[in-house]
Amino acid sequence: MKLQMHQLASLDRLIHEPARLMIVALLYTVESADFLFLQRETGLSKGNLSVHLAKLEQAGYVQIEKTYRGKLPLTLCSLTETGREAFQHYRRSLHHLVAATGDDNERPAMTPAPAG
Amino acid sequence: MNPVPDLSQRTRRYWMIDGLPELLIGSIFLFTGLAQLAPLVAPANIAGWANLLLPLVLLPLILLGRRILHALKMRITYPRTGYVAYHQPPRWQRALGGLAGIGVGIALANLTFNAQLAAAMMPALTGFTLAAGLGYLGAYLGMRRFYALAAFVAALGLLMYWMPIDGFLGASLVIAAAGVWMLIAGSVTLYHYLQHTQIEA
Repeated sequence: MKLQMHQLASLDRLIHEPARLMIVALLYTVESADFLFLQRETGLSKGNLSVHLAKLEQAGYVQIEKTYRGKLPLTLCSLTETGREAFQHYRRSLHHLVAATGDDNERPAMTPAPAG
Repeated sequence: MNPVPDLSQRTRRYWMIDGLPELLIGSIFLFTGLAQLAPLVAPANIAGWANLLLPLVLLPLILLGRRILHALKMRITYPRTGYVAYHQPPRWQRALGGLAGIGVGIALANLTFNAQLAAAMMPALTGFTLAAGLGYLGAYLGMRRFYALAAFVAALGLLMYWMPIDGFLGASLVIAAAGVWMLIAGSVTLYHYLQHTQIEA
């Protein structure tokens, strides 16, 4: 039990934040995605998404590239190798932790204390 | 329990959000069906020329299809709902897929040309082969309408097999019908997509 508590404390807080978790999980499944796609899928405002992306970029988890596809300007975001490994580690830790809490059915039944 | 596979499927499904890939695949199916049909129904003096329709129409469509799709998505989809680049499968996987496709093609062609019985079975074989491919696509993308189409082409293949018509004619009709279904589904999806999205400023 002590080990699992330690795992909980060592979860990557940068990824653990819900908005950033959405961004990283989305980017994990693709090669790259642009700002507009991320904004639509996460439901975040432009400002909010920018702030979270900047934090992830600062940590070296996300690479942001401003480019063009034909005449269309794109802000392309992709997970770096560090970001990919960090997310894999986060998933493993969280999975172990959730598994260690057991099944809902294993919860001891509330039985009335014997009288007398 | 594990949300990442579902998310992968969701992002893969995004490729079909605008109906454009279905319109392209539907066009390929329809043209294939019609081009196979042409020599069967054309007058004898031009039946030879009708055989050329398949390579003349289909090859450019297959070769340029990806570029046309990309150009259309650039104008319609990316400015509205964003751009996504997908992980490319490793070379060995693509090669294996290509080999499997060639294998199925050779097996079907072998059956067609060597066995008398196979000609009559062509509609059912075509229907089941298409249904298997569409079923796989449905599972890969998590899209139920591909299962419906798979069931439709399998049933149509069987129906054509039981009907007293030429086997090749029946197979061509199955392919063309699958194309028409996909064109209709793609058009409806595109209409719905354009109605509910607008180009971001």
